[in-house]
Order: sequence, then structure tokens, then C-alpha cells
Amino acid sequence: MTRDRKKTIFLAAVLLVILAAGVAVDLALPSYHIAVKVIKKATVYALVAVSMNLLNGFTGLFSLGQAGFMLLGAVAYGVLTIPVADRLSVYQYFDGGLIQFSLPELLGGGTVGTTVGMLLALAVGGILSALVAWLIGLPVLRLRSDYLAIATLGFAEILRAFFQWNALGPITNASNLLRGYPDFQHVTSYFLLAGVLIAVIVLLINSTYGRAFKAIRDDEVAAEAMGINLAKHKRMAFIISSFFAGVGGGMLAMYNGTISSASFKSSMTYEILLIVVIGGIGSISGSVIASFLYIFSSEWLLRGLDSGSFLGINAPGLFKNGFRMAVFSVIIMLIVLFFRRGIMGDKELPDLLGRRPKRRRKEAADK
Amino acid sequence: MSEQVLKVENVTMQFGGVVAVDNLNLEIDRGEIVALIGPNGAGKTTAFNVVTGVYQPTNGAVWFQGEKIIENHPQGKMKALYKGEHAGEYTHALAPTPDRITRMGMARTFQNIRLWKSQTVFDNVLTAMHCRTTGNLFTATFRLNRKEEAQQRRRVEELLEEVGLTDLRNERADALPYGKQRRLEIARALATDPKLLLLDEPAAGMNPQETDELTAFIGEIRGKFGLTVFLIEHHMDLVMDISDRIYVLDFGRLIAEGTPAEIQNNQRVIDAYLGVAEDA
Repeated sequence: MTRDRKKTIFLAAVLLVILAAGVAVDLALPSYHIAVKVIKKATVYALVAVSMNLLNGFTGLFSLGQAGFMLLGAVAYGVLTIPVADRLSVYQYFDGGLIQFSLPELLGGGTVGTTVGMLLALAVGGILSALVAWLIGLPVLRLRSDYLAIATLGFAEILRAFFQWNALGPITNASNLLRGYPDFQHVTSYFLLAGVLIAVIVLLINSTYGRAFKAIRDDEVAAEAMGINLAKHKRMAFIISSFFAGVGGGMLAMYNGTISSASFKSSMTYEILLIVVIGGIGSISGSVIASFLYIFSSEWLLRGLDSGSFLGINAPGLFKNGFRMAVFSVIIMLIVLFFRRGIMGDKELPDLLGRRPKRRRKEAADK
Repeated sequence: MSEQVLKVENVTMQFGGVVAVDNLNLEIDRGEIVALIGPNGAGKTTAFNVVTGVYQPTNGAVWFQGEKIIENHPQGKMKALYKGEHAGEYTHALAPTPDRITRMGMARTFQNIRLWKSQTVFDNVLTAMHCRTTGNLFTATFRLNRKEEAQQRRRVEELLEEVGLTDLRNERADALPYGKQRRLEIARALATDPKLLLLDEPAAGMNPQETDELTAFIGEIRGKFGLTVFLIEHHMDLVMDISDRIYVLDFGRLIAEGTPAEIQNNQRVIDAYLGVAEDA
């Protein structure tokens, strides 16, 4: 009991420190600073990675459709929040588009109206993703392991092509950019939003339904024999994961400032999968930590490798476009070699606390 | 009416041209311990898999607590291939999935232990209670069902106490010794709140002392939980000790049924196990 309490206190302390860091960054740095950008993107990726972990790590369904659901959420967010006055210029090839309202304006604008409108638009994006996931899940969830991965990957690509279709232009702006929608300025807002959503996922995983998901992951036959309806629970996990991916897509749209369907490629799914694997399949805190490490190094630390100078070394001949990815691959290989099960394995951050007492107890027993 | 828990009626299970279970009929009354024995490959586990919904029988029906839960008749290609009896007597197809059958009140263990290995002993039992949760996804996630959760946790403690695994509650399931894993599997099955417990070779791989303990244990839980037990077993001491009645399968067919004493002296059973002398 006391150790559980210690863990809770530890977790609360970590969360407080993170939140305080967010506030400090907001106060100290201008919003165009690279650190702000990195933190925002990493926060969004953390949410999406956790949603993917719910499916791949906790339910054992190997799905690669995350980018498709993110696209849905992003487009829904953009379509619902672009101010009506700007629509003519955004949808310039489609006579201002079909949809002539925006949620923040419908809710009266101002700080409150805009914020609520934005949150509502994110939620709509999530719900749309969940609905599509339900539809896709009907045929796809009958498949196992690799086949499921291929099918979901295919569906995500189909979704992307569908959104770029000219006939849908009045709604999605086809292959043109969606832009001019409101976004959150502060790192703290991102932290709070993603934090609350990740907390919901954690609560779900620790609930009786989460236990059922883990049972399916560990042994499907046994799970079914113990009265767990496989089809129902797999569908549930798939829909929930897609909901959060959709919301994450909306947040990514916010961060980017523009939405182009073409950028939600399968390579985005692979990036997220990479984060999940590096962090540890089946570890929420692992996914979050890995997301920050990954975005920090790919967007900031290793940028120099592409633009001529890195760590004070000037070598424009060697450090040119693409070299960053080469170095990155090597780093990833090293991680996979030396951290077989990811940074965290299937442990969570507070579990690290539990280690030392155990060793001490063993020593005491040896004496 | 006598309290019949399980009735297997004219069940034939045919895979392609192979008849694994041939016209099986058996009945189990409430509170009984009934064993299904037979040489290797006699179709015992197949019969179990039919009763628990893993396989759909080719022909026949299964009744549970007075209700018909499974029924099938040869369909499609099987119509021409069917070699069994009672063809044409059954016209419906009723095939609930294993999870539904478990929720009806029938729980099983596996011949090759199938625990959720990476989870703790406690969580293994707790997870099995999921099928009896009344809360929905929302109430479960936002902890609006605390009472139920607390109740389940208390029940897990009781069950672990019952099977003697309380000390090991925080160990990973795959870290337990073999005999304890078997006990844990039974505790997990009991967590689904069954009326009928199906044990597939519960003593497989156990030494004589462990087998004795298990024999006592099965008798104990029958009384405590008001269970009916149906088991497959090769350890004859265990079977003869605790069974009220025994059914014997050979090559998919029922060759004998009766009390342990009757079975021990049944010539057909002895022949099936030892073979028939050629030079007689």
C-alpha cells in the first residue's frame, strides 16, 4: 500500500514539474522559438503514440492505420474552424467551399467561444475517426497480425487518396492546403489537452476493460474461454485508439498551421510506430519519453547534419540533405540492439521506484 | 426432474473424412464428478472442445441446464461426406462462441496450461471476472464502478486463499511451478462463476504427491462452490478416487460407462487399454 502511495506521489510530482516547465517555456521563450515548436510537436506525437500503443501494445492488434485517422481528425478540425470570412481565399478553386460556418464563430467567438469551438472541432474529428474505424473494423478485424497491418495500412492510404479527390473539393479542398484556422499559442495548452487525453487512456488501460485487452494480447484462446468476447473487445480497442488518433491529428494540424492531405503518408505511421517501439511496446510513459527524444533529435539536435554544420564541425560536403536520416538510422539500430524491449520495456515510470526496495529485501534475505 | 447440468446428445464430430467423435451421448447431473477417459487420440479433448464451443459439431446437440445451447447438422460438402448416425434428425444450427458459453456458466482449463503469462497471479484471476462486470466502458474508465471493482478484488483474494496462492499473488504467472500454475488455472476458471467446471487433464505432468493434493482439492471445491465437475484424465488413481461415474471413449466411440468399480472390471475397457491378445 505504501509503495503504491509513493508511486502516486512520484507521478504527481513528475506531472507537476512538466507542467511548470511548460509554463516557464511559455513565459521565457517567444512562440517561434525552436524549443517551443519541438515541445508542441512532441506532445502531439506522444498522444498519437500512446493511442497506437493502446492497440499494438495492449491489445496486441498490429495496426498501421494511424496516419489515416490523423488525417481525418486534421481535416475535420480545419473544415470546422476556418473563419467564414477566409473561406473564399482558402477554397479558391471551389468557390469558397460547401461548408459556410465555423464552430468558434458559431459559439460567439471571444476567448471562451473560440476555445470551446476548437475543442469541439477536435472532438468531432475524433468521433469521425471512431466512426470510420468502426466501419473499417467490420472486415479488417477478422484478420490476424501481419494481415491486419497490411489491411489497415491500405485503408489509410485509400483515405488519403479519397481526401485528395477533386469531387470532394468543396469540403476537403482536395489537394490544396487548408489554412487560417485558430490554434493554441501556449505549450501549456498542448500539455493540458494531451495530458488529459493520455490520462483517460491510462485509466482505461487500468480498468476492467484494459485487463480484458491485455488478456486478448497475451492469449486469445484463453481470453475467449474466460468469457471475453473477442470481436467486441477488439472493435472497442480499435475504435478508441482511432478516436485518440483523430484528436491527435487535429492537434497536429494546429501545430502545423496548414493541413495538406499529402503529408499524412504511411511514413508518418512508421514514425509513430518507431516511437512506440523505442519507448517500449506496452509502456505509456515509454511512448511519451520516446516521442520527446525522437522529435527533439530529428527536429532540432540533428538538424545541423542536413544544413552543413553540426556540433561546430563545418562540412558542407558531407552534412547535406538526407545525411540526418542516415545518422538517425544508425542511432535507431543501436537502440534496437541495446534496448531490445525499448527504453521502458513494459514498465511505467513509477515502476522504477519499486526496484530498489526489492533488491534491498533480497540482500536482507541473503544475510 | 433430476437436475441435469449437461447432456450431450448424439454428437458426431467429423473432420473431413475422419470421425473424431462418433455418436457421443452422455449426461451429467448436478453435483457429480464425471470423468471421461480413453487411450490417446480417443477424442476426449475434441469432445471437450465441442461442449465449450471451440468446435461446432457435425451433427447432434448439447444441452446445458435444461436448455439446448448447441445444435448442428451436416451442411454443404459434409452432407455427402457424413459417416455418422442420426443424420437428418437435427435441422437447426446453433453455435454460440466460447465466450458466450462461458458466460452461461461453463468454465474450463486447458491441457497445455494457458495462463496470461506476463501478468501477475492476482491479475490473472481478476481479469477472468471481466465477463461478469456489469459496468460499461464509460463507468469502468472513469471509476464510477468502484464498488464492483472492490468487490471483485475481495473475491480474488478469497479465491487465491482457497487455492493456496495468496503468498504468490504478485508473482508473474509463468514464474510459478507447474503444479501451482494448474491451481491458478482452476482459480481463474472459478472466477468466471461457473456451474460446470471442465478440467482437461488437470494432473498432467504432476508427481504422485501433487496428484493426491489435486484429488483432494477438486473434491473440496466441488462442495464449496456447488460445482459439477467434468474432467479428462489419464491418472487412473485420481479418476478412480474422485469420480462418481466414468465414461470411456475409444476411437471416438463410447465403449463403456459406469461407476469406477464397474469400469475397472469391464473387459472392453481393459481390451481398449491393453490390446486384445491375438492367439486367444
